[in-house]
Order: sequence, then structure tokens, then C-alpha cells
Amino acid sequence: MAKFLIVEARFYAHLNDMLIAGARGALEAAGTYKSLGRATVGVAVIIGGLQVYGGYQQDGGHFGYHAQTAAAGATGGLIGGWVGAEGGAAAGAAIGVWFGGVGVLPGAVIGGFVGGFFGSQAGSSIGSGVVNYYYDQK
Amino acid sequence: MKRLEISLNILHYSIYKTHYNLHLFANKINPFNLIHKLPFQKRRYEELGIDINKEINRAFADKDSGLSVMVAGGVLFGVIFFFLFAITNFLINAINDAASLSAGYFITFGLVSLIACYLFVFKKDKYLVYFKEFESWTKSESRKYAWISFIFIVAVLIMFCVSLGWHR
Repeated sequence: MAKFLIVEARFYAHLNDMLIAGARGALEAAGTYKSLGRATVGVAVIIGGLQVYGGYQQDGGHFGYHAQTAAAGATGGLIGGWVGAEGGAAAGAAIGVWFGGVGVLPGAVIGGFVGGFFGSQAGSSIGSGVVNYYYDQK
Repeated sequence: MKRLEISLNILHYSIYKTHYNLHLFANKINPFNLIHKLPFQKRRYEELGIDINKEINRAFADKDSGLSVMVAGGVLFGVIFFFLFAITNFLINAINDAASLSAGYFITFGLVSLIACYLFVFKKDKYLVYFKEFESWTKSESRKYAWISFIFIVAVLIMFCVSLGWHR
């Protein structure tokens, strides 16, 4: 576990208390967003797989249209998530520098998170769209 | 139990390293990096005295709460879930050919993988101790474990796909 040492000089006790509360809050927030990030990625991976399973059942035990759409959507979602996170991190860092300079790291992380989420949605739509297009052409 | 803990931490570390290396590769082709070449952005980086690429790399590499460690945690959770899914699907189909997994099973798999991840990897950031240990690996050791982890993940994916169509 990461350990943090907060040093304070208690001249103005009420101000110190507020500053300590702020620092504690920031550390707790970092822990929360890490868990949130893990949960988002984990749930996205699991939902993709379960959609393939559902599609396979819908196709009556064959890797037919529904299973293919779900598999392409899940794969597209993973790739899109990665691409989105890379783009989001670069854009987030570029925006973050305008917030006193301390915003570079949070900007990159938040940008990566947001970009990953939207990239995953777009990638999933593109993946299933490709399968739909293929079936429309048939 | 200790063995399981070490194995899960090796898997977690390998996913983290792979994701970070993918990021380093993406740096070479990421069109969004062109933003950093805009004159006003460049001026700002100079004012702050920062190397923006290094800062972005830090956002990914940070072991405490970086992007790669978040992705590694999520993927580990998913891999355990699908491992349990595939094994159970094989067993259930071996007993009853017409059986299929229901929501109850999925919730159980989710809970078991969550508990496993939490107890062996995430609890009190236990993984950081393992990361420190694994960083002292030699290049060949590092490559060996990365391959083992990769093969394990591919095997879980294959097992999952095969289990869908597997009948007694």
C-alpha cells in the first residue's frame, strides 16, 4: 500500500484541519478512481464475452449472425477503448497544462479514461456495423 | 494459496507491462500527439519546463494509480471470470447436454473473480510489493513470464470459445 506523510505546522488549527481534510480527500479520490477504472475495464471485457455467449444461444448453438455481431462488437470495443485512451490521454494532457501546470497528470489520466470509454463505444458500433454491412451485402 | 497469489500477481504485472509497452508503441503513431506540436502548446510546455511525452508516459506507467495499472486490474478480473465461465460450461455440458448458464452463474463468477482479485492482488495495494520484486527480474525471466501470461490468456479465450460449442 502506498504511504503518504502529511506534515503540518499547527498555527491555525482550523485551517490545518481543512487542509488535512482536503489532502485526505484527494488521496481517497485517487483510490476511488483507480477502482472505478478497473471496474469499467473489467465490466466492459465481461459484457463483451457475455454478449457473444448470448448471441451464440440466440443463433441456436451456432456461430451465426448474432454471435458474430457480438464478437465483432466486443473486439471493436477493446481496440476502440485502447485507441480512445491513447488519444484521450494526449488531448487531456494538452488541456491539463493550462490548469496551473499541475493538471498534466490528472488531465492525461482523466482524458485516457474518458477517451477509452467513448472509444470503446465507437469501436463496438464499428465492429458490429461491419458484420451488419457484410450481411446486408450478402 | 501463496502460489495462487504469486501467479495472479505475475499475470497482473505482465498485463501492466504489456499495456505500457503498447502505449510506448502507440506514441510513435498516435495522431493526437500532433496537438503537442502546436506553437502555443509548445510555448506552454517551455514555460512550465516539462517534457509532455514524459508526463503522458508517467500517467500510464504510474504503478499506484496510472492508466496501465487500471487496465491490468480490469483485464485480470475479466480473465478470471472467463476462466471460471469456461470450466463451468464444460462441466455443466458434460452433465446435461441441453444445459446453459444463467444469470446466477454469471453473478457467482463475477463475485469469485472480484474476491480473488481483491484478496490476492488489490487488497492494501499488495501488488506494489510484487511489482518491486518482479522489476528485479532479468530480461530472460521477464520475457519468460510475459509469454506464460500471454499463452494463459489466449488459452482462456480458446477455452471460452470451445466451451460455447462443446457438447457431451
